[in-house]
Amino acid sequence: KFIVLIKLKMSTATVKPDPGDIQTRLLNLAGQLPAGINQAALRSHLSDLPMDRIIQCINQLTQSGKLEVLQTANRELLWRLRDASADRRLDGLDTKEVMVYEQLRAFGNKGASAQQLQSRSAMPQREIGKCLNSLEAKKLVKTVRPVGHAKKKIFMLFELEPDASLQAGTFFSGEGFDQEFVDVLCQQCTLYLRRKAEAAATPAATTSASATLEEVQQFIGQSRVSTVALSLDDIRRVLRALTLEGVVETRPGPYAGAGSSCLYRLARSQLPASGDFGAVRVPCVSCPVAPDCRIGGEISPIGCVYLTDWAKGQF
Amino acid sequence: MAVSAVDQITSFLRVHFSPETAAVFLYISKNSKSTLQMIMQQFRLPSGKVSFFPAENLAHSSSLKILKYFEKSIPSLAFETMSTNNQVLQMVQQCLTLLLTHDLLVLSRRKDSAIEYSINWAQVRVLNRAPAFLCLTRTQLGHAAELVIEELLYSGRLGLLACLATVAKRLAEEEDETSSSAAAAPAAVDPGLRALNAFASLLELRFIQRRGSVVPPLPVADNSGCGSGGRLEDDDEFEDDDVIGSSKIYRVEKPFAPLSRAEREAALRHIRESLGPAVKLSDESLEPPAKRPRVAAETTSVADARRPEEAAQEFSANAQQLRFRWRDSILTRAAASVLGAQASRVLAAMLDIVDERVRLGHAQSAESEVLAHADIVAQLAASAAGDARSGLDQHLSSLAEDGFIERQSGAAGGQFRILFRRAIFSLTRQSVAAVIRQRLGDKAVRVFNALSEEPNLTQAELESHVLIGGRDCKELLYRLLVDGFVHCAELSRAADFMNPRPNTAYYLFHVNLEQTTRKLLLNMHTYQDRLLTRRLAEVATNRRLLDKRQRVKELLKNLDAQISAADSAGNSDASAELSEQRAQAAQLLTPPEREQLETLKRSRTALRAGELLLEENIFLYELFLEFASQHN
Repeated sequence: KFIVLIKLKMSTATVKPDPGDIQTRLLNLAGQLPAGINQAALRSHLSDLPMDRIIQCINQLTQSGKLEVLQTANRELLWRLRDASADRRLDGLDTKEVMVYEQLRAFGNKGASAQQLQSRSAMPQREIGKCLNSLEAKKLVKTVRPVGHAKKKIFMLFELEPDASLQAGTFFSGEGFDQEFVDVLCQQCTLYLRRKAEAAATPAATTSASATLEEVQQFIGQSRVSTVALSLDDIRRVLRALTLEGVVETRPGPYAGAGSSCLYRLARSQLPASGDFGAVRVPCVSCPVAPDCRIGGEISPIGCVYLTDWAKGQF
Repeated sequence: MAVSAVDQITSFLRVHFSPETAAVFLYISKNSKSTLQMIMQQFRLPSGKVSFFPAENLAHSSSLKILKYFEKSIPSLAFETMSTNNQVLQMVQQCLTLLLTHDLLVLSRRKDSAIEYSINWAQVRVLNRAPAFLCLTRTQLGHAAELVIEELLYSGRLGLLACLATVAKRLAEEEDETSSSAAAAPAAVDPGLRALNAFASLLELRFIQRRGSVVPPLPVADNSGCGSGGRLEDDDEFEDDDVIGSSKIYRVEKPFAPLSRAEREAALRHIRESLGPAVKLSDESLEPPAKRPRVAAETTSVADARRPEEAAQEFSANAQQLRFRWRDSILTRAAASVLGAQASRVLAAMLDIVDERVRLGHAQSAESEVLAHADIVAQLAASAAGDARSGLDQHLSSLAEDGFIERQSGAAGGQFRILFRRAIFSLTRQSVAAVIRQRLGDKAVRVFNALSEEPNLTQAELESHVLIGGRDCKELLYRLLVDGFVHCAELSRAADFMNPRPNTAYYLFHVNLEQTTRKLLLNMHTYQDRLLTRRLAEVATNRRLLDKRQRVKELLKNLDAQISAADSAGNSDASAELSEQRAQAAQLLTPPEREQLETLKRSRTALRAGELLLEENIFLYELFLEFASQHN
C-alpha cells in the first residue's frame, strides 16, 4: 500500500516541466505547422502542459526572436517559427510594435492607413499611433502620401517601393509632377517623328512618315533622356498629349483591329510647306489689352504700337 | 443685325446718294414692315411743311467700310425745300426705288393690301462683304471679272451696255497707265473684248444673273400706275401708294441664260462708241459658231421673241453663288495646306461637279450628292488638272481620312460624297485652337482639345489626360474659362443642393464650340472695326500729302500730253522746255514725302489684308453656326 501511495503521490504530484523542453516542443510544433500555431493547436498538441507555462515559453521565444507573433483577420493570434535569416532589426521591439510591423508586412507595397491597422487589430488608435511613431523613428516603416490625397497617410515597410496606385508613375518625382521631364519626353518624341517625316519620300506618304508606339519607345530608350525604363503606356500618354496639342496625329495601323497600335506621325500643320489659315496673324487677336481698347480711349487702335509694328512687317 | 452694319449702309447712302435715302433706310431699319404712309408721316409736319430728317447719330468714320467704292451721286432734293405732299411722296418713292435697286428692301403685303417695307439684312451683309467677294473673283477669274462684279455690287443693278462700257473704260485707263509708266507693249486682247469675255464667263458660272429692271415711278402728274388712281392735288391727304404700282419690277424666267449673239454685238458696238477711236478695239467680236453651247440657240430664239420689257433686263451679282464659291475656296485651300496641291485639285474638281449639279436644279445641303469615281476622272480630264489623275485613289483616300469627303461604296472605283458640314466644323475647331494657341500657348490647346473630345472632366482627370502639372493646369483652365473657350458645370455632392459650397461640389469642364464661336464672331467684328478705324485715320492724317501727290500726278500727266503733242508737231524747243518743266514738277514731292507715302501704302495694304483675313474667319464662323443651327 505504501508503494502504491508513493506512486500515486508521485503521479499526482505537480511535475514541473523543463522550460527547455517546452521551448523545444514549441519550436518543433512550429516547424510542423509553418503557417503558425494558434491556441487550438497548442491545446491539441501540448495538452499535457499547463497553459501558463506554454505562454511563458512562447513569450521567451518571441523575445529571443525565434518565434514571431501574428494576428489573423479574425484577430486570432498565431505564433510562427521565425526564419533564421529574418530581419534582426526587429530585435528589441515590443510585441505590439512587432505585431504592427507584421501587419504592415502583410499589406505589402500598397501600405495601410492607421484606420486600416486598427480595424485589423484590436489595439486602440492611440497604441497604434505610438507603435507607428516608434517604428518610423527606427526607420522600419515610412509614410507615403498617395496622389490625389495629399492629406492622407499611408504606412508601409521602409524598404518597399510604393505601389503604382499610390503614385502616378513615371512622371512623378519626389516633389510631385515632373513637368520638365514630361516636356523633354515630348520634345524627343516630336524630334523623332520630325526626322521620320523629313526622311519620307512625300509628306502625304502615310507609312514611311509614321512610327509605331514600339519604335518611339525604342528611340526614347536609346536617347537616354530617362533614367527609368518607360513603358508603352507612358509613351502612349506622351503621344496622346502631343496629339491634343496638334503636334502629332494618329492614323490606324496597317493591321487595324488585330490589337496592334495605331501609327503616329507629325501633324501636317507642322510641316514647313504648309500655310496657316485664319486671322491669327492680326495682332488684335492676341493683344493683351484688347478688352480695354476703345476708339477714342486711352488705348485706341489709332495710336496702337502693335498695329504699327505689324503694318511695318515687324510683328 | 449689328448696329455698325446699319450705320455703314446709312453713311454710304447718305454720302453717295442722298441724305433722304439714308433717312428712309434708317427709318425702315428701325421700324420693320413700314408702309409708305408711315414713312411719309416722319417727314410731314401738320402745317404741310416737312422737316429735314435730323442728323442722326451716325457711327464714326470707322464704319464707312464701303464708302470709297461708291462714286455715283444722284442729285437730291432736300426735304426742307419741299412744300407739298406730292413732292415728298415723289422723293420717298425715289428713295424706295433706289433701295429696291440695291435689293436692300423686302416687300410684303398686308391684309389691307398695303405694301410693307423691311430691310433685307442679307444684302446689307453682302455689301459689307464686298471687298472679300472682289478678292475672290480676282483670284478665280481675273481682274476684268473683278471689275464687273464691283460695278454690279455697288450699283445694285446695271444694264449690259452700261456695265461693259464702264469696265472697258477702266481697263483701258489702266492699260494706259501701265504702258506709259513701263513703256510696255499694249495688251494682246483689247479691253472691250476682255470685259465682254469676263462678263460671259461670270454669267456662265452664275456669279451674275439677269434681273428685271426697276423702273422709276412716273412723275406725280401722271398717276397711271397708282392704285388709287387720279391726280394728287397739293395739300391733299395722300393715299397709301405702293412702289410696285409705280415702279415695275419684271421677273426673268432664265436668270442665267448666256449672252446671245445680238447682245454681244450690241455690247461691242456700244463699247466702241463710248470709248472712241483712241482705244484700239479688235474686230473679232464673237466666238466661232461651233463653240457656242447648244443651249444658246434656244436662248437666242427666246431672247429675240422677248417682250419689250425684257429688253430692259439688267444684271446683278449673285450673292448666293459668291458665298458658295467662297466656301469652296476655303475648303480647297485647307486641303492644299494639309494634303498638297494635287489633292486640292481633286477636291476642286469634285466641287465643280457639285456646282454643275446645283446649276441643273439640285439643292445644296450639308453633304453633297454621291459622286462617282468616273465622274471625277472625267472632270479632272476636262479641267487643267489632268495630272492629278495619277494617284487619284491615294488623294481620295487622303481626303477621306481628313474628313473632307466620305467614301460611300467601293464599287466601280468608289462613290464619294463631300462632307461640307464636317469639314467646316473641323476647320472651325482648328481656327479656334489657333486663336487659343496665339493667346495662351500650346498647353492651353491641349486642355481645349482634351475637353472637346472628352467633355465633363474634373480638373484632376484633366491633369492626367494632358500631362500638365496641377498648378499650371489650373491656371490654364481658369484663363480658358474667363475667355469663354471652356465652360463649367457645377455638380453638388452634398445633400444640400440649394446651397452648394465649393468644397462639396464637383466642377465639370466642357467645351461648347457653338457658344465659343459666337463669342469669337463678335470679337472678330470688333477687331475688323479697329483695323478699319486705323486705316481711315491714317488716310485722314496724310490727306494733305495724298492730295499733293494726286495734284503732282495730274500735272505730270498734262505735261506728258503736251510733250507728246510737241514731239508730234516737231517743235523740239517747246518739247525740251516742257521736259524741263516736267523734271521740275517731278521734284515737287520731296524724298521724305515719298518715303512717307510708301510707308502709308504699306500700312494700308497690311491693314486691308488684315480686314480680309478677319472677314474670312467671320465667314467661316457664320457657316459653322448656320450648319450647327440646321443640326439643332
